[in-house]
Amino acid sequence: MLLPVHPEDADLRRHLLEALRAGEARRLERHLSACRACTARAARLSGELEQARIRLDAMAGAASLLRQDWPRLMERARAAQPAAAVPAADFLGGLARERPLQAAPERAAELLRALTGVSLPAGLRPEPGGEAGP
Amino acid sequence: MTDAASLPFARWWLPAGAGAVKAIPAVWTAAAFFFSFACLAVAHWRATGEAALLNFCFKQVGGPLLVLLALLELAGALLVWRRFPRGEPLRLAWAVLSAAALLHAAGTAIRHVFSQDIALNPLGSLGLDAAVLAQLQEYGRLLGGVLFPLALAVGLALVLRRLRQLGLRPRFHAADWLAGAAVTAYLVFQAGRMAYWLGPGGARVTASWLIGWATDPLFAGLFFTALLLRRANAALRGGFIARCWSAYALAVLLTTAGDFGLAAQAAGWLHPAAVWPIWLIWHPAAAAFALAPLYQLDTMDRAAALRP
Repeated sequence: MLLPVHPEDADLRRHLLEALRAGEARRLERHLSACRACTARAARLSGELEQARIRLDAMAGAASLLRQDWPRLMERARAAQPAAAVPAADFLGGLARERPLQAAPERAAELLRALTGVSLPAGLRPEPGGEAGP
Repeated sequence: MTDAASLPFARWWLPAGAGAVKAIPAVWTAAAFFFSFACLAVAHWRATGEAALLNFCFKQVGGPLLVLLALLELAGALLVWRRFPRGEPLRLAWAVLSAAALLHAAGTAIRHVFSQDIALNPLGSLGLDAAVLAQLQEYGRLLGGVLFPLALAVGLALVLRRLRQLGLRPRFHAADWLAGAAVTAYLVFQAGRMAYWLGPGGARVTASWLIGWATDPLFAGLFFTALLLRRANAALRGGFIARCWSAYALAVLLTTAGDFGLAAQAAGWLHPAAVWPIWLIWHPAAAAFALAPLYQLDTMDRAAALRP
């Protein structure tokens, strides 16, 4: 199962539910982990995916249960990671796709502050740019 | 753009809001329009030998346009400087770049408007004699040909130092070494000529004479700085931040090429009929100088928009 490029939350939710129905939550999770464009979103949703997987293992009606729980789960996930992702590649170009910056994403915010004078609040995580999807 | 409130000059040129965003395409359009016009004027002159259109293009239109672009560069650099928080190393760099832009604007205005017999010269009605105009030209040359490259080189060196601190180190390519070697050879040749004039040539050493000799080494230093900046900036290529430093590097490389072309003409290496490509360099260079701080302002606006 392949996600569309940069899926919106609503699309992601639909795909997640379909994947759960098809018993493909692990595959979807793998995609989100590998897809650079979705990394930040995957990080935010990883908690939800994990919960969904547990539910899938635990009971047959996971999909419908998840559908009911979705707003609460999303709310909790957003509370844990309140800020939007910084599109680092837009500002830092090729540097954002290089390994050292990928390994230390907080450095993107530091570079952005040094080169533009704009400080972003703590907790913002840079979103590595590049092509979507493995 | 609250910082603009304390800079009436900059606010007038780049009004609050999306000033930089609107000015960027305006600069591109003006530069493209003038370049096309200049190419036509040069082609007309080469075909007919008639210089009226050429003079109108470069003196009546081109001169004021250079001043306009330099003022835009100054307004942009001042706004960028004010928007960098105190304590940020690039704030100092932008203060020096603003000073360089001021010298650039003043030198350009004096050389291309105030000392010229053109319709837009506000001093035209005073009927200044040729000696005064020549003196004004000298002042313009001092500001634009000596102090401006000096201040610009210092500002860009401060930027390079900051980029280096951030881990963005320039790596020279073979072409850079070749260009550097050619410029160094040219400087050695110029030093030899200067030594001749100071010795057996018997030149009368005046401030103006020394200023003339200072221009080439300054532009050579600026050339090396631009090469380093271009390479240090390479890692950021494709991002918003890179546009400003690419524009500065391009502007400096074009200006240096023009300066060396003029020196080659003065030394007799370039046939007078082959000088015209140099005339076409200055406006793209001025546009790149104006675009550099505008791109930085645009980038800062975009980064500020990310704040929740």
